[in-house]
Amino acid sequence: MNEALNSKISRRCFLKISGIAAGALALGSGGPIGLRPVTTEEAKRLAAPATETRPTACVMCPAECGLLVNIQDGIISTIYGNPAVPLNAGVACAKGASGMQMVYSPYRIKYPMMRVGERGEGKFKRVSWDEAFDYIAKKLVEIKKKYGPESVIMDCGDVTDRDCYWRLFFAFGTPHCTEHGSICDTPRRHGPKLMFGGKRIEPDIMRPQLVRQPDGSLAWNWTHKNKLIIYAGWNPFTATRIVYESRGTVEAKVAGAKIIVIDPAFSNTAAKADLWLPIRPGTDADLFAAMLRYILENHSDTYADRRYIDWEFKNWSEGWDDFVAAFRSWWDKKDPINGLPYFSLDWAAQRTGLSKEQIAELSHLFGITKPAALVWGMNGIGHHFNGYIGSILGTVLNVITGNLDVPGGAIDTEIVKSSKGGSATGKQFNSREVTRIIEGKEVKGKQEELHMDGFGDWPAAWDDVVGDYPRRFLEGVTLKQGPFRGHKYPIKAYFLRTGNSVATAGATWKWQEALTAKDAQGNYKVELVVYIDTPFLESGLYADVVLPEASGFERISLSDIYPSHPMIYLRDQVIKPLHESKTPWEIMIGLAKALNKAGDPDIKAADFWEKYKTEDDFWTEALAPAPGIRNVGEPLPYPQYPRGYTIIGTPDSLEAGRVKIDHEKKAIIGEPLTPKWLREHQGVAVWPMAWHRYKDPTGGILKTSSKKIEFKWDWTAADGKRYGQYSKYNKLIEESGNVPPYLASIGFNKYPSTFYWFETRWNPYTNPDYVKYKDEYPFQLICGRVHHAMSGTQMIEYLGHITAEGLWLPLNDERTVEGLEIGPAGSQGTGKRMHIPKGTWSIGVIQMNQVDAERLGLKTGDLVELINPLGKSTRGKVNVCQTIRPGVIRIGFGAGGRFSPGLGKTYVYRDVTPDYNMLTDPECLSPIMGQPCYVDMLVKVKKVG
Amino acid sequence: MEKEELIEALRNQAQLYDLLRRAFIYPLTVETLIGLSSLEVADADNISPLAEGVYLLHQRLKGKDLNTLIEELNQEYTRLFIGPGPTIVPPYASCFLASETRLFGEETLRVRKAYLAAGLAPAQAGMPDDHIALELEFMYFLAQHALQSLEGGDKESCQRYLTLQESFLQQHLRPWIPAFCADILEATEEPFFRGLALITNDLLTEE
Repeated sequence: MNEALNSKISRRCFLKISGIAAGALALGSGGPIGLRPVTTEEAKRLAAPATETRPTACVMCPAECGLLVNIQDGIISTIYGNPAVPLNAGVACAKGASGMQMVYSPYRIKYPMMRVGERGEGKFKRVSWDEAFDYIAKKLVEIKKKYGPESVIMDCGDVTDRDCYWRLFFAFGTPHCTEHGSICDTPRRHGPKLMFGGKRIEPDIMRPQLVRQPDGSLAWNWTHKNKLIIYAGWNPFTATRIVYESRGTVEAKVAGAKIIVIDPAFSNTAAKADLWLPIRPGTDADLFAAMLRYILENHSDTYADRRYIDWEFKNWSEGWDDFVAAFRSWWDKKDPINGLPYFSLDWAAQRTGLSKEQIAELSHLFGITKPAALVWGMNGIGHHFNGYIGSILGTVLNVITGNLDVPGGAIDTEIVKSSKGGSATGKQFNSREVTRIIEGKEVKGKQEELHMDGFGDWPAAWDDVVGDYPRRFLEGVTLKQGPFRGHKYPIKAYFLRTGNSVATAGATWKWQEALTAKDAQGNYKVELVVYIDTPFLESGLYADVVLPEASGFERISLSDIYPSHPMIYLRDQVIKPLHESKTPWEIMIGLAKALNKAGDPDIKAADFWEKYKTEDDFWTEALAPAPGIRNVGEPLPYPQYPRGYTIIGTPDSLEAGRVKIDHEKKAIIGEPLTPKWLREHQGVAVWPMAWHRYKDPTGGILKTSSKKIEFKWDWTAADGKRYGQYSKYNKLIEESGNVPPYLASIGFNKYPSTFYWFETRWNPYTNPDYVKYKDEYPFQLICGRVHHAMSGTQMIEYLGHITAEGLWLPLNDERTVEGLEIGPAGSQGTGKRMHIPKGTWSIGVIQMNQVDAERLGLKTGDLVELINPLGKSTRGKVNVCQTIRPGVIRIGFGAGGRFSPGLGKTYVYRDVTPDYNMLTDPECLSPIMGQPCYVDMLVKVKKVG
Repeated sequence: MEKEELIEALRNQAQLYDLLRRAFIYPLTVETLIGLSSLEVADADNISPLAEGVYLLHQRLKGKDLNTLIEELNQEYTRLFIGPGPTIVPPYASCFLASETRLFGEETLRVRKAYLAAGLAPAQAGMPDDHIALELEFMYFLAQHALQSLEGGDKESCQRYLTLQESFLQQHLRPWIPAFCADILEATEEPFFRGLALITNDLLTEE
């Protein structure tokens, strides 16, 4: 026996622990650290193979599809779409299906960390949550004392699951709770916002829809009535949150609809279209203006083949006559750049690069085909200096042709969706009264009136927009409007949660400058930078504290991304948070306690840990207002209840009549929706669809001041009251006498009361100021989306092997790298030298037309440098193709120059992939809301080597 | 060996595993450093990697202000084994054994089953079962039970624990430890972690 034991103990006894140390580490003193004893019962339970399927919502992109996740032994095994969620109706894309590669990525942030080097160096030390919370809390309390809570920005870069963070920071006292939507495509939403109080016009193609039948029952509608869909600068097959639009467009086409795509690039959507119009970048508004002029000039009430306008819209609107008068006033003016009358076919042809005949045909087709939808996206109108005008004109075109909210027409998906969030979001804290001392005088006002943009240079920066950073980090804020005008404060703390501002929120170099700038004493100007996320992206390199957030499958939230009618589904915690990551709710509670302990008077137990005993308590409060829409439209969603009343409660309680009708508040109140109810109902609640939902004396879905569609935006009515979406901001300007500088730069002294026009920037074809750059910088630069590799998921192995639209191709050279793994060779582990064969990994490339490439002597794969008139440059490999308009260069947004080592192989090729935002002009902020103008730029091309 | 010698050898072995698991658990503590600095190679003429590892640890730790040093070592630990971004040397078996780069792979489940069979589970729910520190802790656990059995005169039980230990070593540690330790040696110039890698590899892979 001893022999047998001997052999097992073996040579390990060559090594001994000697002396005192052996005593210090005496056996028994070192009980279990990482392992714990379990009872036989528990061990049996844990060892038993268990399979379950749980509904949740995706976060791999902001489309947030409903998912069914299969879990085997506590580990996610496969991911499918949830058929019960009409938004995606059982479909999941490659990106969604690869979600477990994010959850189980060895690269994800696993523990809280604090910076030990300089910002940008990427040197960190693991710390405990308590250390991290205490450090942040102490710093925040200090900053609040010294500079005021308004010096703190909470930026929830991604739009998903932000409510907990917003609640905490509104309660802390800052009005700056924001998200990526602040710096993404605000111009696109402007028309619907002004005219409906809405946001997003999408075609009526979400299927199925739950529709009330004549016999009172509910049935799923799968039919398509659409005859024409026009997508301008909108590419739902590649880049969209509106996930049903790819599926729906194909289905609508099969059912007989005509699809037209207007885009400088032959996008994936264009590939499915009947007609592709390769427009010159930055001229969408010009095209829409010409369409409107054509329709107004050629409409006939008499002849059916020219009956473009459906005058019924006048019954439900205000200000058409003012609008049309202002629009017509331009018709006789000559455009300085081409000497042609504004909005004429010749004028538009000259500007857009399309032919006169094409524009006339398009206008006629749109006018005559019903139902139709004109839809525009972020790639064009959303990101131009003058995108607002295109958005307004597009909205007008949909309304006057009678296509708004008709079956098969155009739906404003913002105002038809369910309410959620309610008091859980903490917005109520933002209207607290606060006091500031300005030039020795005590001034009172609301917390929200401290907003750096809304009461600074962009009064119309509604929807919690924060457009004007990082400049404000360097220069500080001086309020120009409202009660606190004259109040100055610096930006001292920046919280970035699931966002990546440094790479994607405007000029990269400007962000780097702002986050590393130091004061005379050598301290960072922005004293506290906190990065909260699951993956580690560029912005994390500049953080003082890095916090691991639970991945999308490990946290709870609510989803309802732009459906045609109200629905809400649960993002559920299908597995427990891995490593030491915490859910947003846990981070909110943890930081709230730390702030309270550090002496913050505004963070109270009653608003946080005493109020929400469990995470479900929080989400129950957030679900309380759902769906919160009015009982309006045809067919009436609930014919058994009074028309026009607000509907609240679970679908089944409303169907069964388990409701209370409050005639005073005009509300039908069923049983409240809860996470528990959702879990018991396949994760989703769906309320009925209806159309014509704005045709109601209550205004129905409209959220405008007059309860009608508004073609004018600032007027005083007979009742002496001031109406219109701009009136509030104009009142501020009149009161202060401070004309916002960007408004002044386009010649306005306040927000216009109806139709307006101004030119975009950096466009030598439409704006005379830029003609001088045309010869030296012959290319217009635009960006496209590489959907599956947007900003945050480029380390996902599965997705690196997929190509996208000529923007993302396996043009990689052969490299041997350290610490990363490539697929074909099989089972190499990370942390080793790795060989990446040529042509096996998709990288961001520069898309260029063959004609241009031949002129420059370039072929696919050549390395070039792109240089803009500001002297900034980036380099990448050329993809020579015919799928882009000559004179235009297109790059994937966030698809190159990626310098976070957290991005795997994408990081390896950072020296040969183009960083789009190195070329963005940080001074070019759109005048109405401060949005960075990502697609207004010119470049020249220089071959490298 | 006689029983007393065996007990002594087993006690030493258990202490070694205890020390090693601590060396891979964040944060490092002064006690762990003291333990590591007191390692001695019995055979003075030995010029094995083991001896080199011990030499490196002595050079780095002996006579140093451990409270200052520990800060530096914890930073290097973070860089090597935590991140952020790509973990330079991921301390998880799955990363070395699976056909794709991911955590919570099949190896995680296999190791989990081995722990459960012995009545153990990871104390922190989100921690992958195949983390180096947990696997070493399991070796420590088995050594400690073998020792207690022997001390109590139950040689059969001792034998059972040692067999279990041997099979866990063969099936779960040996397949990845050489690659893991080689990667540490390649990734760092820090003598502490180089020494630790040499010792760990030598102890776990010697025949």
